[in-house]
Amino acid sequence: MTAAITRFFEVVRYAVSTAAVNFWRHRAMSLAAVFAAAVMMLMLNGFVIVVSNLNVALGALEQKVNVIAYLRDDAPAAEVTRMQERLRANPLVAEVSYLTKDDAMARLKQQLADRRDLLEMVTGNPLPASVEVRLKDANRIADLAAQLRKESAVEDVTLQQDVVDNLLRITNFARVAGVVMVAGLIGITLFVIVNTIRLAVYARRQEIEIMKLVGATDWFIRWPFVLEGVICGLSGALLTSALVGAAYEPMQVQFLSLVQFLPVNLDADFPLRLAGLTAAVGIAIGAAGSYISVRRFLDV
Amino acid sequence: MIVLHNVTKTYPNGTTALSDVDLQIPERDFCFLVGPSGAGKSTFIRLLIREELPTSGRVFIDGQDLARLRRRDIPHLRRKVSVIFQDFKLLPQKTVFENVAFALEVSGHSRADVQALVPETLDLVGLSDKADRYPGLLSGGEQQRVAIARALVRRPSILVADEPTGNLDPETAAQTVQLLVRVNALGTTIVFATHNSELVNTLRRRVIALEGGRIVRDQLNAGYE
Repeated sequence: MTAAITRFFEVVRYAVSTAAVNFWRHRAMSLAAVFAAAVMMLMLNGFVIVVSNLNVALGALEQKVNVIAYLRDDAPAAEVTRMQERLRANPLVAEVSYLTKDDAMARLKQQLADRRDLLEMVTGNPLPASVEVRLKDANRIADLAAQLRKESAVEDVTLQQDVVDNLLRITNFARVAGVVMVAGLIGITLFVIVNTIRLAVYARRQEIEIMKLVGATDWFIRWPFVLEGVICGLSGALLTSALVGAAYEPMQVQFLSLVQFLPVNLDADFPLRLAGLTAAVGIAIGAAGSYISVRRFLDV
Repeated sequence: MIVLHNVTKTYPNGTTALSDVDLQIPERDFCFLVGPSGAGKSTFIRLLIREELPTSGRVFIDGQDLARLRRRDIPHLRRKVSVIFQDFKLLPQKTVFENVAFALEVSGHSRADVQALVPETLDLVGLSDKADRYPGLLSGGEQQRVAIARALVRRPSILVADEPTGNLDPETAAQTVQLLVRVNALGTTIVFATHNSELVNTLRRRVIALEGGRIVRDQLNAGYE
């Protein structure tokens, strides 16, 4: 058992020192990989920031989607109250607000304050009372409308179906495009790392062959390269996070002024989570890239 | 114990390097593998460390069928069967000490082991004073001895030497052979591939002669012809 532990630490020591030596010996190549990874991850960061902001913004827009149920003038008050209670208990519903006939008239008067001539043509109060329902999930708007139409107190239901559909289309497109772009960027970064490490592996192919012939295991040969890839990926990630960290505040201000009609607001620890994500992606890409590069040279 | 059973090896380009070879080499044996270039000596060695698999027939080392060896067990085979390669296969950017230590490091020996075993082995091959040199600055015979030290340092049970005296002057060649004889006396099986007839004739050991991929002679206490 102690022998196994000693062995393990010997292998770790060997792998770490070999990786460091290789990284330094091929420093021009390593730096190229670090910068390539940093550029890719910078784009990835930018994209994640934009998509996250868009998601928050679109989420806010979705919040505004509502359904208006116009009530019958003859609907009994008790029935209207019961209906509101049922709606509040409904899992699809975020908020219910009741607008009486008088409230509706008051709102109309306010909206037409500078067109009193139009208001003078109105006699009595032709406006119906209504219940405005805000949804938790804009995707379920049709379901809720169908449920409302079944209510006996409801005369008619309006929903901004076109607005909702467009909104959903934009949201979904942005999310899909985001995922596709991020996947593409990860692919490109992987390609750069694979080729960099491949050069390092190629430079040491003779050593690898000899290692195989004197009885080294595949993982013993692989570890230093995997670590070297991880060093490249992680360095790129740190560089990226440093740049993003410096540029994040000004960029956020710019973005907010660009879309100030939306309440965009990301959590305070978003930059931290982004840096964590970047580091994880850097490590994963570095390790995966090296693994792929070494594989071909292990068949001896 | 090395056992070859009806082994035939045909390369993808159609060359048949070995055909129908049946052979047993017991533990602690010292045998010469002789024959002209292209007789199949190198292929025979590649089969022993599973660099190649036979096209048909079987190769056993200590009862283990090499064709059934899992990929991850190949390193263990190669620690048991050490090869001294004809072209030495030394790493030019590592010192003599590091080249020998390398064979221990790959099998995860501790630094203490390395510090103890490497000087001992370098002493055995007479290279203690050259430990810090780089292979490129050594003579052919010295490089040869580094290769031998690397093969020996792990105390393999089988040592295969591929033309180890090929590039050496007669005196150095004789020293190399004496070294291998001593190693054999310590209990290691030695397979010595060569076409140096003088050496074979002097030592009078078991001789396995290959020609055109077939065993044409297998004789104890024999000479080259």
